Amino acid sequence: MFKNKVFVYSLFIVAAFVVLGVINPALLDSFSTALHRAIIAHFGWAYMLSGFFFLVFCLVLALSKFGSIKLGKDHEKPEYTYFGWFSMLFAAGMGIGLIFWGVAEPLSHFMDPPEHIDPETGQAATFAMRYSFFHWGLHPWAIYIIMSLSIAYFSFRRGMPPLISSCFYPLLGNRIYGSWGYLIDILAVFATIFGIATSLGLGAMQINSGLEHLYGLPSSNTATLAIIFVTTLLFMISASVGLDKGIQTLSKSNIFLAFILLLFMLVFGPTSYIFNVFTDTIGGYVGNVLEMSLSMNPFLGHDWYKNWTLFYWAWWIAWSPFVGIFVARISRGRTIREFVSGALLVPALLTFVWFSVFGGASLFLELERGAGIGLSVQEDVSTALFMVFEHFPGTIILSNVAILLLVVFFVTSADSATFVLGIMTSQGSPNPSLSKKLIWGVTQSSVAAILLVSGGLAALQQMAITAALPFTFVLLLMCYNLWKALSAEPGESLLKRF
Amino acid sequence: MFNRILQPVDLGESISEIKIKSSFVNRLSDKEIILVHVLNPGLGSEDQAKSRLYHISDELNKIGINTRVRLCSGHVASEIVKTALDEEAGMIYLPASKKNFLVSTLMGSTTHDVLRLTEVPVFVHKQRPVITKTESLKRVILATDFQEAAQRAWPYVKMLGDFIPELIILHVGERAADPYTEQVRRENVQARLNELKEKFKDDFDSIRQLTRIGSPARHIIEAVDDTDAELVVLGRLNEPFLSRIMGSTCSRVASSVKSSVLLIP
Repeated sequence: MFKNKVFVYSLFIVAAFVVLGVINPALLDSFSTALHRAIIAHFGWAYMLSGFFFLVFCLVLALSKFGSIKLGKDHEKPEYTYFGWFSMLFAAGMGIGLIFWGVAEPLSHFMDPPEHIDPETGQAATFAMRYSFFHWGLHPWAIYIIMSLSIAYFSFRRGMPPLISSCFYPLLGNRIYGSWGYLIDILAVFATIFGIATSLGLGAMQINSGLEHLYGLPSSNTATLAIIFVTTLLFMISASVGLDKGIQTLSKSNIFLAFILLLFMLVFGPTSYIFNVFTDTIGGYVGNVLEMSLSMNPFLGHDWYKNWTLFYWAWWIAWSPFVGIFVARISRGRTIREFVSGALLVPALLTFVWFSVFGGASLFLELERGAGIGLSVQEDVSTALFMVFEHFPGTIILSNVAILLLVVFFVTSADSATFVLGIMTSQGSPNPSLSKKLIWGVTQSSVAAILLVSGGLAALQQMAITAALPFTFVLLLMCYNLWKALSAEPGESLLKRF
Repeated sequence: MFNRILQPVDLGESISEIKIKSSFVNRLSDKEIILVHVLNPGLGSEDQAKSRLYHISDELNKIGINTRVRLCSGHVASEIVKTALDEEAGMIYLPASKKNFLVSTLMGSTTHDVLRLTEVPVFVHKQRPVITKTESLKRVILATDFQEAAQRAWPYVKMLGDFIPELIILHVGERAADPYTEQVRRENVQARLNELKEKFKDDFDSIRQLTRIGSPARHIIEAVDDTDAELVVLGRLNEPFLSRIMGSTCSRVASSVKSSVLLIP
């Protein structure tokens, strides 16, 4: 009936949810809340076990004989330099979320830890930093790696379209070109749209908070819509310029800007304290990563783990199709070992440094100076970063730089997302048409805007997390398919040369 | 043809049942059948068993089946395998017993133990072909993955051509990881199946080819049902560790297939 079913059906489904969110946000909210609660309550253990399995699987792949297999033909070289690659990895995978949560998450855990830990104590601070590392460390990247490695392997080495359904060929054969394939790809589009729209909404809210903090621009729907409109224009321009020029230039400049901000905070903040926090938390993280990976605490503090750890795991899984396809696209020509070690360690290490600097500085202000930021964060997490800046020299410049970072991360994330959505709905064409990218760009910004205005952001955020449950099984099956395909290489090399 | 065939006997069986089985297996032997009975240590009288065994042997010799007897004591499967090696038997003939699931789970199965331990081909006689004096086989399936173990079955398949008119060559493989390689794999499989067909064309009246993707055990069992074949010939593979937990292909085929199985170790 339709030439491009994935594009038509996914656009229709997204539109239907948006319409429901506009017409009856309460209904959408109650439906998604019930579904989300049921999933977290009954399948939380599955997220935890899967997250741990993905990390182990990545390490096994990197250390196994498969580590030397290239994501491309044997003679291919990497397309991007290490700096460009790491910048794009970091920008796509974490970017805007890290700016939002860099201060807010450690302070939130510090103020409101699980019930067996006393809040606002040294123990709570240690816990807060360790779990911030845990939530943003190796596990999210392991989830992304499973997705991106599979897509990169099947598309660049096996010559298939860069679609999630392509990774299922060993299991499904030609059925990937039928209903099963469409279902997998539509689910990926669904998760991506709602995942990115929610993040863009959060980003817009924080930009608005920053502008209010700095210039007294009132937090209002009109202001937020204006922010979304301007940033949409910016990422449309970036998308029009193309991947190589647009995203790479923006990612590099943003990493440079983030590095400057980080350095400033490190130098003008409590430097030794930050290094102590970094060293201590790294030690605590490495020593406890196994326990934390499988910690559900069913007897005490279970709700905290449901609200934070399970939320994050579901969130990373929901984001994995978007990040996976993008990261695959920029990783052609690298070996599996190089890819896993690079994508697992470098962004995680950068994240640890970021949290140590921003989280460490905020905890210093809270514990040693009694700054009272924690209470403000409890009221509105989007103001956390700007509250910390008030205790540093050059507050206005710092806040402006942070807003600029947010805008650029917004643009790079949205730009990457339109690119990925374009690929997913163009039967895997590596260079989707500009019109399709623009359609998805407008759609995702509209989703973010409409949801913010109608108050349905939380509902859609929950829907994205809900989509993560089937995706957990998709990811597990991807591991199986990837392993099968890698194992078959020696035998297949008798049939053809790679 | 096999020089010697080892036929374990249960002394509880009637002479007529043993005669029917021996008559069937005698067609595959050109020298003698060795009747073997394994006593459980400390249980049963050795003299009584020996007397019964010789009586069975005499009855079979009377109808023209050349037999010898061996009486052993110990673990049944190990003794059968050991005797087969000592006697340089060409094949062990095992009529499949109908133990229920609980008994075979708790007590183990002699057939599975023999299949696991043997270095000698084993013929597991199942419901098909029905054992009658006049029973003849109509079609046999050769299950192959083109590996060395499957190749060891070729001489036996050629020999079976003397008794069976139709051969079905079944290849069960794994799907390649991408469409292009899959196409190459299919072409490769077809070419090798054609080679096999050419190899056996003088031995059988008709030869068919089947190809499947997926679990070998499942597809062998399904192919037997679909084609109504009476015998499956397959080589024993050195399968990965997981198969030892889940059960090897041979073991799964032997326990679930309706036809008889000739396993070539």
